[in-house]
Amino acid sequence: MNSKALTIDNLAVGFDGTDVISKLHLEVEAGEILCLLGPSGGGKTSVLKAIAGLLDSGVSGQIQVFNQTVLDGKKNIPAEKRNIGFIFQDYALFPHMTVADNVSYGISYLSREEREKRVQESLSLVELAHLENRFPHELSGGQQQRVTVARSLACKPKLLLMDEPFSNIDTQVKRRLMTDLKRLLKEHNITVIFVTHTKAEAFAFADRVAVLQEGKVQQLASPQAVFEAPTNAFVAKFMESGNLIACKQYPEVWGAPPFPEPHQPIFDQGYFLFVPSQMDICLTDKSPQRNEKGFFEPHCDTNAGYIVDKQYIGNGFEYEVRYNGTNWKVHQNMNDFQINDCVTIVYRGRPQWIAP
Amino acid sequence: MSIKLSPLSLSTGLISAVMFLPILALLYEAFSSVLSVGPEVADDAFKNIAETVLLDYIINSFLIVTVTLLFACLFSLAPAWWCAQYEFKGRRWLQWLMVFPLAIPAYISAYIYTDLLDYAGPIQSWLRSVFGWQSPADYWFVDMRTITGASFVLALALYPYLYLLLRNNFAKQSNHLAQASSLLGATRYRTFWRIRFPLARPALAIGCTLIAMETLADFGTVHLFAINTLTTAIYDSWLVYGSLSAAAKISCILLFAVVSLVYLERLQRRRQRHYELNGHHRPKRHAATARQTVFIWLVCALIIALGFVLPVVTLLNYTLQYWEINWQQDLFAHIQNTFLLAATAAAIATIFALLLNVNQRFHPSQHNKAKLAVSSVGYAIPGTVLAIGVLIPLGALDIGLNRWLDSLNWQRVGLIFSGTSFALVLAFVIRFAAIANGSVSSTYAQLPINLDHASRMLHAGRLTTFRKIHIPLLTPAMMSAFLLVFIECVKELSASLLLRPFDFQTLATYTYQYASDEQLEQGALSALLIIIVSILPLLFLSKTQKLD
Amino acid sequence: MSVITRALAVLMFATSMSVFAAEQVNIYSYRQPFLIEPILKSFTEETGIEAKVIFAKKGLIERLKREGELSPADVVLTSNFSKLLQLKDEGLTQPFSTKNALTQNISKQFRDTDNHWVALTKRVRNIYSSTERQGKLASIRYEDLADAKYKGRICTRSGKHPYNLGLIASLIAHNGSAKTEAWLKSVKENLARKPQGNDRAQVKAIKEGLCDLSLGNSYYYGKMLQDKEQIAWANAVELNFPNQADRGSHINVSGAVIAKHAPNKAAAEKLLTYLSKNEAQSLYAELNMEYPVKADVKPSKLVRSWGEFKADSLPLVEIAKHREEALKLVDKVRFDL
Repeated sequence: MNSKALTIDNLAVGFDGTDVISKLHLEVEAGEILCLLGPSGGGKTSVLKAIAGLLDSGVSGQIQVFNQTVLDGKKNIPAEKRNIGFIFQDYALFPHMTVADNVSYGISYLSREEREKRVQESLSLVELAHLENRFPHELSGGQQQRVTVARSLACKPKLLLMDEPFSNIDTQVKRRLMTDLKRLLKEHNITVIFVTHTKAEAFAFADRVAVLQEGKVQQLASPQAVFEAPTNAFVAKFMESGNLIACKQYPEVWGAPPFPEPHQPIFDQGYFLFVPSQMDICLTDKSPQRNEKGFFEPHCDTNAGYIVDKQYIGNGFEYEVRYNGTNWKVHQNMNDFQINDCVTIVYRGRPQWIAP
Repeated sequence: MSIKLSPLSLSTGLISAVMFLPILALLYEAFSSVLSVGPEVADDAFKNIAETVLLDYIINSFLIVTVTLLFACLFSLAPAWWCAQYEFKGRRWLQWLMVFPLAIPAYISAYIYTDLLDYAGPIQSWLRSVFGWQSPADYWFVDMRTITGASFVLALALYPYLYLLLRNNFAKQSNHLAQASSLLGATRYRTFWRIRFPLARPALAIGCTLIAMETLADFGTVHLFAINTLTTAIYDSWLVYGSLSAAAKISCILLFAVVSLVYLERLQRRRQRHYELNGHHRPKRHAATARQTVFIWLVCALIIALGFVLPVVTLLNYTLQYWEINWQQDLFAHIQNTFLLAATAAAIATIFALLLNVNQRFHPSQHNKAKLAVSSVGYAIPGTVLAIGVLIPLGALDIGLNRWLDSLNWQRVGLIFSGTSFALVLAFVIRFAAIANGSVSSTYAQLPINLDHASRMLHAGRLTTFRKIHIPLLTPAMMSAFLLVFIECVKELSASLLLRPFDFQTLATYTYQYASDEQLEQGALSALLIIIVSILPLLFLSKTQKLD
Repeated sequence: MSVITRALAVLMFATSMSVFAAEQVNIYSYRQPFLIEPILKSFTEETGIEAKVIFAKKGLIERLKREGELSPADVVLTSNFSKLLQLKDEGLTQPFSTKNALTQNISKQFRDTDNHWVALTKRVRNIYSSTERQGKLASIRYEDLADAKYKGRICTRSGKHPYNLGLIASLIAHNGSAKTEAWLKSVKENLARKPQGNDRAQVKAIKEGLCDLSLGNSYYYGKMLQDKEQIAWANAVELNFPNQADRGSHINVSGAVIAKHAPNKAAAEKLLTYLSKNEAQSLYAELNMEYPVKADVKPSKLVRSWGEFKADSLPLVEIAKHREEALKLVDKVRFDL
């Protein structure tokens, strides 16, 4: 007996001879909200479907849900017998049924009174009790999403899977919806695995994040850890953790690379991560000049770069500086610099070394 | 891929086997006759036809299919567009009136048109008496007994399929793409031809395939028009040369043409899968100006007049003129027979279509797809050939059964399969399965697979999902499948003629006694009844589909 | 196949069971039922045997073959000679008893040597000519249709129709294959329009001035004279009996066989006997304007008014031998295209 809500071992999923997922391992604690984050085509949805039991063929490995084996070499328990909730990206509400009928669909085994009570409870949880007689097409996107949540919760699942649940929802209501939903799920102690490709949703909703690419978990950690301490270049790039500079391109004018001698060989392969908020830029005295074609072309010193883009980001500006053959992102509070200004870059602290 | 032996897979396997059985039987006949009498003798008829006229027949078949499709597009494209995109006075009526020609069997309108427009017909006779012309050399008049004439009549009878599919497609197309196109500076014409029309290509492809198959299988109409096609070659080699083997060989050419058509259509649809029509942005119809309304009504009224009013009025006229011969008490019995038979066949075809499609839905695989395809081939087989194909296995089954009963010293049951309406129902189901299959699969394709997944995640097994989710959502499609097959069965002639039991006439076979001797006048009432029996479900269809 | 389907089909309209019940005779007919109904009606009145008919123009022989020993068919009625031969050749017939009145009524010429089939009526392949433009052509021969003077003046139905095939086969029998091919080619040259329609439609075309000559069976003339609309067509043409100066006009027959596995053989014999007797033979003559095969039965008054004629005496069996060759010639000269 352990407290794992889900254990995935050696999972492989393939269609038509190509593996979408191979040798995947994953463990989820009970009551935890885990986010599967990654680019499109990374196999996130396939993992969800394998857990749900929606894949009839091409799946192998072991999956245990609350210590019950649902998939191994011998059996593949069908979806309808796994008692797992699923929320679809397009909601998949039954268009010919009212909201109440949709919600009561999964609990037909209950008596009539109990069923009605459960429907009312579930709809109240998502604050939609007054719309029970509407049809799905009469609801807004946010309302539809809440109906699917109510529909899943009515079955009292211990594990809830959500596939891009917020992708069709307006940004204004998304935040509130996420907060409410997260509170609801936590109150009912429901374990959740949800899939998204936007890190903002992962940060807002998840306890832990698993970054998935090419069917493999690249990193599994808290949102903060994934963002601030990415284990490899893919995670760093996907999370947009900062400027990723190949070790070979470390600007020599900045002196020796910030690592002791014994690690030297590693530098040939990896990257340095420079966090934009820890960088400063200073104006040099050179100003941009016109070239023979009449365009501005900065002529900066060899140890300086020039600003190619500037963007307001709410609490300051993000400048993009072209220097030493790469573009660097730098955050500054002040609106002191203009495009084409020649600047030098200063980094406060030591860059992190990131594996390739 | 392992084949699971579930009841569903077993029953669909059985269904497709039964549907394909007649074709297999014909092929077997062809081969066994080659083996038994030697290739030289068996091939004699085929060789003779191949050396003399077969190429012309193939070209004629090809031409007639092409021209029929062109005419059908001409009749259906603009009206479908207008009914889907414009709001004008009487649109509700017009959009259903456009379907009415479906109720008229092609062999009847063919008879009426050839009679009307022949040299000896009333129009040309009148022209001659007015202008004092003496002989055909004195003036030019359109010759009906040509490929163009036959195609024209076939297209008038068949265009409603294309029209229905196109109208639905146009009505469901998202407005966003057209708006994007106009914002990019395209004119309305350009938007139509570059955006709307290509988006309608799947519907166009399905409609054209149906029409092409029916045209290839047609014999009655082309025979009246004295056009020799591949079907003529099949009948010639079988009935005149007496060589079933040659007939089967030519049938193979026909089947090959059909299979290529179906394959091309599938290929077409596979490449266009990304054309998912978004239901959220249903277009609002533009209000048509008064001039546009008049124009739309004029064009559509002309098509309806040619395809429906003219044949009906002619038949009414015949009926009144020859009332004594036309009025027969047993017509009521024929109506009842026709109705029961068509309803039974349509119900079975719809159930089969549902089973085959749900099987492919739950277990998508190449071989389940093949089951569907195999079950749809019957539409392209000429009715009489199909009837023989049905008789071969059923006759053998009956004989085997009776001999077995004999061996048990039980009483014989006679021809309970091949000698009853069982054979007829089976032939109808096989012949028109394509229509039911197409109707159900196109709607299935529009239901997101996530609905199934959602249902399963809510503890519903496949059976519950099918019962609670699929059936309600497929009901409109099943109804139109039922009604379309029903109409086709009411009109069907060649298979009914050969397979019907004693004391059993359908309206079509009854009409045929007279029409076959070019005396349609005397069977005009029963021809009218065919049209009425077919129109009733059309009216029903229009009622139920009013909402969209 | 589902049980329900079978139950439905059997319960709702099962008719094969009744086939063995009452005294009746089951007929597969290549002729339209309304043509033979009056005769069958009087048969029922006389004998109390009910006659049931399935009519189709295609495939009945195939159906009979497939039903085998279980076939409900007792009698097959055909509208031409080649079908009679085909039925016998494929072993689908049985002989009727020679002591039957049938054999006395109908002369040997119109019976199978083994009594497997019997002819019931004769029909002449006539040449119709426009009264206005050609007049009566008493001495016309089939061979004359190839004459260049009739260029663009001839109408006919499909060359592959059994009536025309019979005629072409008889020409092969008399003139040989090569000459007939040349004849067929020239006739095709002379056609006013592509072969189409039935025999009546050709007469209608003569009336409208589309052509002057057409091939058609004799009884159509009588039938047209009885129809209120078609009488005008018939009045525009003359009926000519070809080849009167030499071998005589080509005749075809309609006929009947008893099916090999006839469940009601006795009734079938009764029917055939009845059809060969004076009453039925004169009904055929009066109603359908066909020539009776029974020697002492006279054609109808109307038919007699067309005059006596000389019939080709070559046995039909001899002509039938050339049927397949005739067919090949029609395809070879692309007569219908």
